[in-house]
Amino acid sequence: MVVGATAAVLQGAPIVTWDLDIVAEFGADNVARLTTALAALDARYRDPAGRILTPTAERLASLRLHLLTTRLGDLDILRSIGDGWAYADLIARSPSLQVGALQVPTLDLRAVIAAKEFADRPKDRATLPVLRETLRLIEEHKRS
Amino acid sequence: MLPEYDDAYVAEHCFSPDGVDRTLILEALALTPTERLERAQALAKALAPFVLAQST
Repeated sequence: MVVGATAAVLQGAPIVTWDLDIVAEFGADNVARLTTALAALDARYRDPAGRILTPTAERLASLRLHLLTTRLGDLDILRSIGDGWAYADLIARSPSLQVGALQVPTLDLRAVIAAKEFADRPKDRATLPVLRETLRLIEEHKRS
Repeated sequence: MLPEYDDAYVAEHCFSPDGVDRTLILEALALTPTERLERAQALAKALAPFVLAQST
């Protein structure tokens, strides 16, 4: 599912982000699917040391955080966000949005806000007022 | 009759109490998710040279 700033953008938050964050399910079958999809995208880890490291099934199954660059842009694959919220915890809060020809499970804005509040880094605190006002206007629109 | 579009109107209606520009949010909410993503991507692409210049 799409999480983070891109999830917020898809729901109407006017913010800019440079990568796509997703939370994935890391069962063996899905790791195999991810490995194939990432190979098709020419994915490599973003390594400050400049090494060429590919996301193999072993790395995908063992690492917690995958900071990747692909031929379509940067992609972060996360095992969990917030207080250890993994795919199974979040899927019920991730309705599918129509994006182009795809139905994309997208973490709802209230949960995006909760994850950023939990992370509480300066970059999260900087974005939160925009996300909260977006949620407020969405809810106001639903009531009217 | 619509109120005068002046500084007082802008301050009261265009921004939240903590300074968030509501007009940008309302514009984005009028788009589809696909259009929102395309717009964010176009903006990120346009800003990229300046961000790279700043970070070096």
